Amino acid sequence: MNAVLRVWWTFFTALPLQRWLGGTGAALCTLLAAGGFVSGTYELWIFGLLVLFILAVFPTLFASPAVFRALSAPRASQLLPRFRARMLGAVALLVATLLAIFVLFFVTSAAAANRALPLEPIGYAFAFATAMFLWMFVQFGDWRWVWLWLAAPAALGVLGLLAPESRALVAAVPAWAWPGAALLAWIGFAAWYVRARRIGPIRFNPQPRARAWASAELGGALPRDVALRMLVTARPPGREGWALALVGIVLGVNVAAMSVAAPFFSFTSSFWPFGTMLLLWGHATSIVHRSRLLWLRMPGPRDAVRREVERALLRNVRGAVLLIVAAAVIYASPLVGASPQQVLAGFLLSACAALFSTYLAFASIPGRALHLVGFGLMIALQFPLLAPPFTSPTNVTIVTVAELGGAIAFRMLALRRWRQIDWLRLRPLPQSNMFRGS
Amino acid sequence: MSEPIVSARDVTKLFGSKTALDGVSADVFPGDIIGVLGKNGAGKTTLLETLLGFSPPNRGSVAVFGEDALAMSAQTKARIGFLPQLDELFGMLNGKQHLAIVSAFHADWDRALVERLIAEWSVPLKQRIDSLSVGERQKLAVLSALGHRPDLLVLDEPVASLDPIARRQFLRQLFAIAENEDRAVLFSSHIVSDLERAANKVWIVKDGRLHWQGYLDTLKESVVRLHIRARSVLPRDLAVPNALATRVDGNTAIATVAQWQPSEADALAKRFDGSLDVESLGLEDIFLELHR
Amino acid sequence: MFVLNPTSGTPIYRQLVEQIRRLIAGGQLAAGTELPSVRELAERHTVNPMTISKAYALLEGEGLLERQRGKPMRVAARRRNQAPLAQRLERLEPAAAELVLAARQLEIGKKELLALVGDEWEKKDV
Repeated sequence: MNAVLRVWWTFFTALPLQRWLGGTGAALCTLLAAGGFVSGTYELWIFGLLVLFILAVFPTLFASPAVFRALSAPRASQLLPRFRARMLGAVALLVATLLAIFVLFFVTSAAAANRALPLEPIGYAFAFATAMFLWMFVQFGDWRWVWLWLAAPAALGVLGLLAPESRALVAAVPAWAWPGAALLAWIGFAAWYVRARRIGPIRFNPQPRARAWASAELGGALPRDVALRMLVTARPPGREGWALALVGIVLGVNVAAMSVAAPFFSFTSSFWPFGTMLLLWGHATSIVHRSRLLWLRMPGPRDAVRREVERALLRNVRGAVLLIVAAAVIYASPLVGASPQQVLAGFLLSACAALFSTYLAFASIPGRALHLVGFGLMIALQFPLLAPPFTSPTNVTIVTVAELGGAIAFRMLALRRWRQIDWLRLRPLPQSNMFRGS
Repeated sequence: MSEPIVSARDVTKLFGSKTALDGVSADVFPGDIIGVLGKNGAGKTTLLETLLGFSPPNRGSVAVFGEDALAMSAQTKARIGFLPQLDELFGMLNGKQHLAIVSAFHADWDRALVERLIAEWSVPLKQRIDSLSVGERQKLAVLSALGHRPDLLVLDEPVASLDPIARRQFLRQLFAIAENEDRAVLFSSHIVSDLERAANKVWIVKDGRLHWQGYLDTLKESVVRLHIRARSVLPRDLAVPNALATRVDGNTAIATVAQWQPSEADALAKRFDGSLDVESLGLEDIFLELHR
Repeated sequence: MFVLNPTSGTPIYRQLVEQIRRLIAGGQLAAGTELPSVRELAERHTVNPMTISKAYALLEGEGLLERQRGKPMRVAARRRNQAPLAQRLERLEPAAAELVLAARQLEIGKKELLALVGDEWEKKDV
């Protein structure tokens, strides 16, 4: 098969879970489309495309940047003839495919409602897909980029873009500017990609340099919980002070940014739960990955180990919840003056999102497929339901319940996997700097 | 003599303050099977990677098929097969998908060959690559490197994790490739016995320099161990010409010499007023002696 | 038929050459016997086919083997006057030197050595 087509196909079929969901989605869509054709109504078409979107498109939107990075990272790939150009071709084809499905969706909706076909949403969809792809691509290289996401409101605030006058300006930006900017972003990305000497692999476990370990004072007997925390966070004891200080600074900056940004986003918009999920993604995954080391080094039954890991994960959630509380306080304050119901609803929405993301990571011990797909599906639920034109208390309740339900379900899955998993069959972790010389 | 496939001139590579390669000049000619031998950290991997243009040298140049290694055309790349030391396969995919992608990029992928080797070597294709054993991964990586019948095959420790049966199978495939005299193979290995079977030329890398390069047969004939038995006690600082190492013990001495000429035996025996036994050394012993 | 040891100090081609020479001299490889092809031998011993070709080419140069078109090498017919005596004697010199050296080490005299060689010669004719 042609290289571009083969890579394009791999974007959709790389992970077994993708294949299952995508296959189901394609089958259902075909059935519904056939039904729509037979019955002559558009509703079935629209529904079918929606199913295809949720089951095939969204997971791919999240998995494809990972696949793209995984294919670009090995050095042997540099020796494949015209590799980089063809990879870009495959990505272009991917975006075109996603847009095509989207366009089809809109064509049928427009036809059903006897409206003219609106072009703006297509432009926005292109911009959104671009942003998602490039953003996830960057994040898969080093998940700490997520802090940038949270710093964005700060930047916006600093640039005064959130004052009412500026908002009017932003609203006045012509609809074609967004896809135009996306196109520029693609061109910039392509220029970088073709020239970059080395593309880093997917990395979920950033860790302090070996030097930090060399200078850490680890003599004598360590208390048990200190040792556990060290293994799970891959941070030598002395360094915790630095980490806390860093978190404090980032927290401060973000709280300040939030106070400026708050009027722009409702507390129940998709920004908050999505941001929370993203924030916890990397950290929770790192902890879960390193928990394998715990199993090898800790005496006691698996349940005991599992409880320690869960404790570490919930400590993490606590940090995120603090952030959400700070946000809630800002929203409740006269600065924004949101109603108590709104503040409570927003808080629950984000807190449940934090739990969802954490337990999703916990359940994804053997592989990332579940993680990527679960994440994608939740986004598919959050974004449409919580987007400004469609949002409503009912939708907020639906999403919160889905998050909580998902968290409980994934927790059960995680527990079961912990009891049964064959640790020796899991792929080895990338070597930790803990075991290396400086 | 035909044009060299790879030509390195005075290549120097620094990593910070560490000199990984120091003025290396070497050629790979069609028909060569070159074994690269060296201690860990001597610069073998750096050399192989610099030859293929993965890292630009600080000084010197490398030409592959006549082109600068740092800017190879697509046609040239299609003629090269590479197997890095830490195999970099597409971990999240399974073997079948991996090979499908790699083969899609090469216009002349030998499907029949690859399928035959998959059966012969029992390479699992349905499992996720990340969950395969090291040996299975290595076999898959070898297949990715030679499926398109490259004219230049560069392998960095290709069989380190394979059992002896798998290693034999691999060597046989290597010979099949090398049957075509326009091709060349460059491989580094610690398994010296494999090198002795397969290589016709040897590069010995020591401290970033090419300590020795040439035919394996010549190396074996020129580095020998002399057992000297003299009638009188030998001086402690016995000077044996071209000696790499000398050990004196009363009347006897053992000296490892390089560039040995059999015609020298008589003269030496007379000089030391005694008898001389010449012991030829296997490659592993030669390597050990060269690093004494 | 052949024993090849890749890890020995003696290059593989040299081992093969010496073994074939010895077998021909000893009569185990009669004139006209076909030797295994390069590929076959290389595969059996898992060595580089180039090594086998080198050995065969060397022996062909010495006149011990001859090439047949499309078929493997075969042992050449013994020709009475292949190389001048002086040259053949020269070939034997290293072995003679080794023998003399060993004899000197064992403090065996020239007379006893020649008697030993004579005895060996007698054995050969059997």
